Amino acid sequence: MNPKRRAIPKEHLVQENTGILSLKHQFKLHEFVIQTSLFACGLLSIFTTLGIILVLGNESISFFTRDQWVNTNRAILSDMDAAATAFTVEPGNALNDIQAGDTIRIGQEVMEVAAFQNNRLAMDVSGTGGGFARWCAADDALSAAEAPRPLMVNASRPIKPREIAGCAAVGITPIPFQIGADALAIAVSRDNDFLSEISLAELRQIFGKAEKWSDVRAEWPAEQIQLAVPDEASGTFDFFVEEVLDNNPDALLAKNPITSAHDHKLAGSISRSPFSIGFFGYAYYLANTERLKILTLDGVAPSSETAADGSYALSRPLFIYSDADIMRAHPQAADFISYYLANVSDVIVEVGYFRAPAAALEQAGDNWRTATGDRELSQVNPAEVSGRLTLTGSSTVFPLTERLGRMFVEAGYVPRFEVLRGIRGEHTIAPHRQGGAVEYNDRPTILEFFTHTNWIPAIGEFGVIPLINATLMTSAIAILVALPLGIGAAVYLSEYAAPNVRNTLKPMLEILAGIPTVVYGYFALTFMTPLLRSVFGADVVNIYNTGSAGVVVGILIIPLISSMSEDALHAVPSALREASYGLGATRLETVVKVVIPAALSGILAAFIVAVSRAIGETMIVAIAAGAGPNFTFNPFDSAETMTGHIARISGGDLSYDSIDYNSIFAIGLTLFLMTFLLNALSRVIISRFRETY
Amino acid sequence: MAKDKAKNKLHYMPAEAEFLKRLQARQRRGNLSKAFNYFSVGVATLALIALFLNVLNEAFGAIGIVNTIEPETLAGGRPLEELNSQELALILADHAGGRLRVMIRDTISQVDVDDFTRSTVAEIVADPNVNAAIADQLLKHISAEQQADLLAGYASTAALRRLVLDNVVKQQVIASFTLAEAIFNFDAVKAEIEGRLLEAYKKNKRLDEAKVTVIRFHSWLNSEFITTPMSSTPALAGVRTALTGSVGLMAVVALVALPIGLGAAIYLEEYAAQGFINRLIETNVRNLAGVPSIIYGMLGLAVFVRALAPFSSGLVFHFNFDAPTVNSVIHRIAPVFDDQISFDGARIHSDSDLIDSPAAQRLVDVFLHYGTPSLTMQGNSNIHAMANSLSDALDVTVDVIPVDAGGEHDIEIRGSYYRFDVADDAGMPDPVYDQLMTNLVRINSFAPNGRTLVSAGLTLVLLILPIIIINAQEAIRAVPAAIREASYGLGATRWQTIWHQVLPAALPGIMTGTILSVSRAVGETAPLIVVGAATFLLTDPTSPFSQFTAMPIQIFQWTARPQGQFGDIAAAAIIVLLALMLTLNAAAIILRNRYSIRY
Repeated sequence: MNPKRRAIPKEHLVQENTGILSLKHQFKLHEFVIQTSLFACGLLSIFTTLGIILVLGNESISFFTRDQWVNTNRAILSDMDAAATAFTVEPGNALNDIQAGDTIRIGQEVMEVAAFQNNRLAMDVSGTGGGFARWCAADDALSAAEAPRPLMVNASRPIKPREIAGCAAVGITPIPFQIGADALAIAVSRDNDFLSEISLAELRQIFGKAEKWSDVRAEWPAEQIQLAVPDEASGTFDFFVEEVLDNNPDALLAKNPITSAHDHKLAGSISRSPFSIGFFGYAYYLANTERLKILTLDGVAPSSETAADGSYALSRPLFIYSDADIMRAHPQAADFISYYLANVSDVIVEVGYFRAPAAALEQAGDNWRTATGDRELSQVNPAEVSGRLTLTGSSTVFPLTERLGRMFVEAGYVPRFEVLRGIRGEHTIAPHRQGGAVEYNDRPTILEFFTHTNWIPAIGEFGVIPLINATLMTSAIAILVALPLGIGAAVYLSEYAAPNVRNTLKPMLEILAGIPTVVYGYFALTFMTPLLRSVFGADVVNIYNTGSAGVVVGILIIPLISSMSEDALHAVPSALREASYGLGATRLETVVKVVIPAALSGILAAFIVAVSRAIGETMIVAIAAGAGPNFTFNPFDSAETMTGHIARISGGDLSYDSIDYNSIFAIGLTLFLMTFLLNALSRVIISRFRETY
Repeated sequence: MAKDKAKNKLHYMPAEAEFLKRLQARQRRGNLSKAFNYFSVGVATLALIALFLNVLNEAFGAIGIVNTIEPETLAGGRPLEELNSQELALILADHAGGRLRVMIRDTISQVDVDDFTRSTVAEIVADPNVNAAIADQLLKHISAEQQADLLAGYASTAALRRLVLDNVVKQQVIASFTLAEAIFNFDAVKAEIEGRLLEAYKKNKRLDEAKVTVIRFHSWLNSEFITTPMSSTPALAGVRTALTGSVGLMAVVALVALPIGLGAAIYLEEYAAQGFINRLIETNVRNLAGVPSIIYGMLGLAVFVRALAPFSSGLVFHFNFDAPTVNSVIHRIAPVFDDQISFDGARIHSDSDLIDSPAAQRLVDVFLHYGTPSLTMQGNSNIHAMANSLSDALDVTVDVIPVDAGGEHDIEIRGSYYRFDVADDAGMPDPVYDQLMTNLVRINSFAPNGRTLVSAGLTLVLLILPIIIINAQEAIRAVPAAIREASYGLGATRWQTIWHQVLPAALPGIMTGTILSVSRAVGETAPLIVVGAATFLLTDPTSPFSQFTAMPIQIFQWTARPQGQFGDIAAAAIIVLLALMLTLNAAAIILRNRYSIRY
């Protein structure tokens, strides 16, 4: 015994009230240090939570505000590489997204875009009629089709009054620029030995009511006439119907001819049968002279002269159409037409058409001057032209415009960046680096994060839905397995098992709970997956699949559910059971109607904790569910969960402050909030709804 | 209406026959549900049994072995076990040739790997009394027989036998079969190995002559498995580094978590009044217990590995680390440029045609950067970052291409192989870049970073603290109030009461809880992956600031590999891990049973 302690004089304790430092206070000072350090230990848990929230939050903020470089390299290269690719409309091309003010990266240099000229010539084929229809479509129809209004239309016939009226409705006054002339070629296969000349009247019969060749001329074979014609939207078809069929295509269409917007397909189908006949632009005949034979019409063969003087009955003018307002708003269109008019005569014969009469070219020049407000028609330098050129319309004019467009691109009409060197540096204009690795900045947004269904960091797609979906799938499967089995086991342990059986089984279940989850992952991959594959078929079940992972996660959480539920069931006073038995209830009835309702809050809490555990489970899904986000509802498909993704990404050679590094924290925050809310919910349920006896 | 009917039903007393019928139906339902309850327990038990059987089935089984050279033919029909060191060394000299120097480097060399090629024989074996004829010579200048003599003199017979097996006999496991297959279907297994698999093997290796295949039962779990470090060949791999790593983690966790957890529990049980803060702590501890373990990994990554890198890497303690200097970097890269680079104390000069002086200066800076951890250590271990820095310094473009298996010029990093594709207009040959890159990777891998044992340990501490606290609280609560009151009654202060009365009484419970928590920590994988456990490590951790790997990480790595034999050693590793945990749990149970005090 410590004599000092025994010798506490009574007056010390009395003096407490008098304010003199008492013995009690002396002890308290000593204890204060201890208490503070113990308190600090307790506080550590608060710091842990704060740390988790701060770390996840901070990195998530970095994720949503960091520069994310998306490579547009390929788009630029394809534009640069071959002028040919510049002639296709590519909606959704990443290049279209770049605007002034964006940051781009060329090599290691980061620059702000001062101006971006998406100098590309995009052209498609829709037929002359189709082209006018699109050109003069209402604004809302254009936006519904997500196709901008083309600046110009290739036309193989003059515009019709009906079409002019349609254009007037949207404020467009079509201005024609004749750029050449075409002759329709009437062609048959090289195998055809009975045709070399034909008259307009016979043509009308062949493309009209006649069924067999012998119906037209008696010496021709009694074979079915096979027709191949350009489709109805094309100017060629309109022209033919107008000139040959007196504007009445019904008989022709009634014969179900082969139609196509692509003349080379027509040439192919004509060449395959000697009893076939068709018509198309002269240029396409020139490209197919080996397999096709051209017919003279009323004794006149198509040629430059016969087309220009009109002696060949099926010759027609070729046009580019645009509008004065469009040409003023988009000077590149005016420049292109000017360049077109200046150069078309040099190449048109090569392409396969005939030069326009000089008077027509003169007229086109006058139209250009009027439309541009008396600008002089001068030689345009394509390298100084900027802005996108869009054309649609006739397939007949297409090869000609394509040729001119290619010349235009080769002469310097290419996409250009004007950049501010350095993100805030001095204003110098760097020359466009042809083929350089250009990346542009596309930050992930929170909305995108939670709504997009693709997770492909390489192209800047960060939609967490596939990951959440996979997590929910494995968790749902796990709960489907574990909830009935877990509660069944709990009921057995609590209500049926003899005490010594219970004392053996409960630790056994706890062993199940104590096995490392990586072992369960091994079990899923080497036992459960082969089992599923042998039951459902190896071609149905993927080697990595959410089903197998889910079932094994279920096995993992059975002990959790049964242990927590058993505690809750055990806590129900036996008086309740005995009362129930006393009323004659069977054991099942007592359990279902008395014990489980009384323990419901505990069981519910067990259920929620189990869900939370299943959502947070990592190793089983990392091993067995598969690598690579996959938005699927098929449990036999592989899909990566949130936890699996975090584990895979951080398991690699992860570099700090990379987008991958930041992204896993954004996923982690989502995961943390999900489990935290579930755990809090379970605690609320326990404290609020617990039946106390 | 319905309610009335129900009411009537209640009052209706059925006739005896119907009553019995109903009673039987009720009891039938009862039995059915009882059957389901049995079934539930059965499924859980079956799952446990299936899990263990599955592991055993994979960990033991039959293997088919092919020897490149039959051991009996090496020494005139005598088995290797009968040969002495000298004879074994002679076999090595006959067959291994150029590999002898590598064997000397890996088994008996006493000098740093970087200095190995420049060291004399006497330095290498650290024995000035070595054969005087060769003592001052470089290793590459002495004959194969002399090299073999060195091996015979300084390596053990067992080690030599191992070298012969690995390098001359080159035993290869060409197939493995599970225990069930081996027991129930041995003939089919034998036919499969001797037929198809052997053919495939010979075709693959372009061997013409028939080889004798040995088929035998094999336990993947054996003493060598526990004592050898890992290897990329499953048959040679072991769990030594993983096991030592796990033990190291256990030590860190137990030493840190126990005092803190105990302190928190004492505070909450003995001191805390019912204030806001204390309620908050209490709730918070319970919430933390439900946070997924991978989240703790991310916390550890951001805080211990990154933010506290100077501490967790041991840098501020000057632990185990010499920062590279310009001289040491020059020493490292000069051989790549035929020793044409020099440093006069102020400037770097290059007389090499391959690189000019400013580029050499930039190159040295890159090496200094990756050799010395900056305090933030951003992206320090990233091979792509290194390749980029190298390409910036030399103004070339270096592409890093991951490849499946190591070829001649491929660089191995943590068990993965990379090839470097250099687009160079200046005309420096590719092998130069390969050597520079290899050196850079080496200097970087020696630079300390925060991915150490102590970071991982502290992360696991945070993970299991809530569990320790909750357990310790329960143990403390179980100490009857009478004990405390008696102590107070004798005049003891609160702390004296706790220290002398409550803690001794609660200690067995606390220890049990702690051991169980540590055992949980040992089995945790996800946080270690995130914190950055090494996946390929040949050395044991020597300090808290060493790189580490752990048993679960090893199991995960092997499970994720496609080749069948990795599955077998993963199973063997699982047995080791479960044995480790079982030992811990058994210790906890013994503690509880022997020392727990019942009031």
